[in-house]
Amino acid sequence: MAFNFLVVDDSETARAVVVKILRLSGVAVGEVHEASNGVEALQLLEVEPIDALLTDINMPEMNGAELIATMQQDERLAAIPVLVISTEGSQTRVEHLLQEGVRAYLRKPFPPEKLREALEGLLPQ
Amino acid sequence: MSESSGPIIDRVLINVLETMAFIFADPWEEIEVEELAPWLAVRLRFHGHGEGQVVLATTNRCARMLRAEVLGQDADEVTDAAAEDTVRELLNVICGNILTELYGSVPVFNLEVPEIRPAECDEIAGLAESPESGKVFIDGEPIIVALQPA
Repeated sequence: MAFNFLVVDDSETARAVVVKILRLSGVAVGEVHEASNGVEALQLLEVEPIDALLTDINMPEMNGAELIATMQQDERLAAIPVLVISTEGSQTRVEHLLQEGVRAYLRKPFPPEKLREALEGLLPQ
Repeated sequence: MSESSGPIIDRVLINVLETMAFIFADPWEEIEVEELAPWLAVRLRFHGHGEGQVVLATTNRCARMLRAEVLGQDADEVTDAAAEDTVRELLNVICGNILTELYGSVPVFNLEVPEIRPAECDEIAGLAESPESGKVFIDGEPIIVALQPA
């Protein structure tokens, strides 16, 4: 079974890095969709079957925290596991994100095996 | 932060290049700044537990090369805007890791959006000489990262 992912980051470079590491992680990857902010992500979530969302926090228009909060208000979207991928190093902020519905957090940069470990805890085995 | 942060920045820079871009850095060597021009500099200001900025300086050639490596493109086909996106993201990741290395994971920092601009040779020479800078080469092109507390 291959999983479909949505990668959300305003930097094309950051998205490319995440996609590259995702494909090297050993996780069964199906389709990978990309969005540059929360608004685009919500539009894709409406039409694409996504198994896990990988999102940055600091983005224009709608940031990652706003995206996660919006998803939590929708029963279908709230069930999609969210992994935050960010430069954020503050444990205080990370704990806040985990309380807001985020299932896992990875600080940039990270190797493929760290991403696999994080996703194994989110995706059905 | 009583000791020079240069060795910490070196370590962060090498780790980020390897992990994010699969690029292995070479040790720093003395450079003739003018011979390597044109240069660009990206500045990222931070606030919160401490105030200041982190500056990343490199050559325009290196910026295009980084972009090409990360996205699997031909360096000759990389636009200036695309190369700038890559060095902004690189600095974003480096800055977050430098602050965590220096101050730990408890303090909260707010990072601004990185600003990019052409850099004069005098500024580059100053960054390279600073004890608060990390410096490496990749494929013969220099990358300098300097911490400048307010």
